[in-house]
Amino acid sequence: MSTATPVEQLRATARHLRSIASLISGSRALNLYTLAGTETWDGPTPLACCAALVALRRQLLANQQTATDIARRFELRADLLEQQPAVSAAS
Amino acid sequence: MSYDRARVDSLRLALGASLEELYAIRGADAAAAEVMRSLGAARRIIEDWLPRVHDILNSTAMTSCTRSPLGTPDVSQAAKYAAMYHQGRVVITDPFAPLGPPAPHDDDRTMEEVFAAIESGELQPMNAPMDANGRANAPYESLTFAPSSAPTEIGRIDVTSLPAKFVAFWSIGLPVGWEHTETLTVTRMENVRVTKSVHRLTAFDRDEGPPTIDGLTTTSTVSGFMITMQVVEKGEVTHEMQEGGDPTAHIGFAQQESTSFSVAFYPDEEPVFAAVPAGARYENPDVLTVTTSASPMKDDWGTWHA
Repeated sequence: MSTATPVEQLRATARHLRSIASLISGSRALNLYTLAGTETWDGPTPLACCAALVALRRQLLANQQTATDIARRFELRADLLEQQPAVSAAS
Repeated sequence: MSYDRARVDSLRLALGASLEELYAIRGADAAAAEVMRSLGAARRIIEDWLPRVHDILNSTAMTSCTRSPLGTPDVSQAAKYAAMYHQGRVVITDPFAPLGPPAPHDDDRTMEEVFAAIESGELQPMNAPMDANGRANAPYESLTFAPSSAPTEIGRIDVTSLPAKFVAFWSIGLPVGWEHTETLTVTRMENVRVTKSVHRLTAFDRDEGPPTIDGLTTTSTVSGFMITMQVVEKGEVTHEMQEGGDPTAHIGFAQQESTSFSVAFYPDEEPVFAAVPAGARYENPDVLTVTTSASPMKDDWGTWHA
């Protein structure tokens, strides 16, 4: 019972991080670069814009991965905390 | 450059919608701090490009022109040229060609982080230009900042004092109005060319600026944060348009507006100035010049904030 609150907190944080990751993966910003290709415009500025939007996609995917990784760590810690009373009771 | 208006308009709408989506992602949890910080940097990429896409769509390059003499090709033939070579796309002169896009930079600090770095001493101000201290014929320096790429605005805050806001508010609808606003802007500048010129304190034309002493001009290229304080003063004398009518409807008699600014620059590392060879040079016209003098030496110059 004493670990219930921290476990809940860890799981809530993990849920929050997973929701952020899900929002990022569903964001239209990930596909903006497809709208900025040569069929839309041509020239040095368009080229730079397309490169910036490709970099934006990379950055967002990295953010999504980071949020998922942190969420997984929190879930693992919550699992470990949940197993502790069972282990101590068995011994 | 050439573009398809409908597609660029779709891009503009998608940029705006994406920005709103990213702003809707919130995470106050400390565990999400790193992700949120990185999302802020991602948002800034869109914020940098959205106004540019908008400007391209609103460019008057194809709607305002001067006809060339008969027989000389001019912009009136651009539609034919576009139809032949660009399949009906709009052809304009790239409005950002002189500056290009904002330079990519790794330093994605927020405005608060820049201020914290200044307070902690991590960021040190650039050495102030030499001042004449009001002595006639004494030499003094001016610094000209010429960006090589569009500066990235990190943030801006209205620092107008409460009494000034109070005066501006209460003068609405009165025959004499006064407005005083102060805005603090933090900008990231990459590879900005700083030119240090030496002048002599004498009488001169404020429109032309002081003459530069030959052979003493030095220059350096540096990246860093620029803090700009802009003060706008606006005075107005008005008269009520119709007695007993709308009390806020006034006709203006006289209006005067003055703008001044002071600047501080925090370079990534202290620049090393080298002599500029004599002779004509190509300069970016979009420059900003400052001196330490209490009153700017030319009408559009600012003061260096030590």
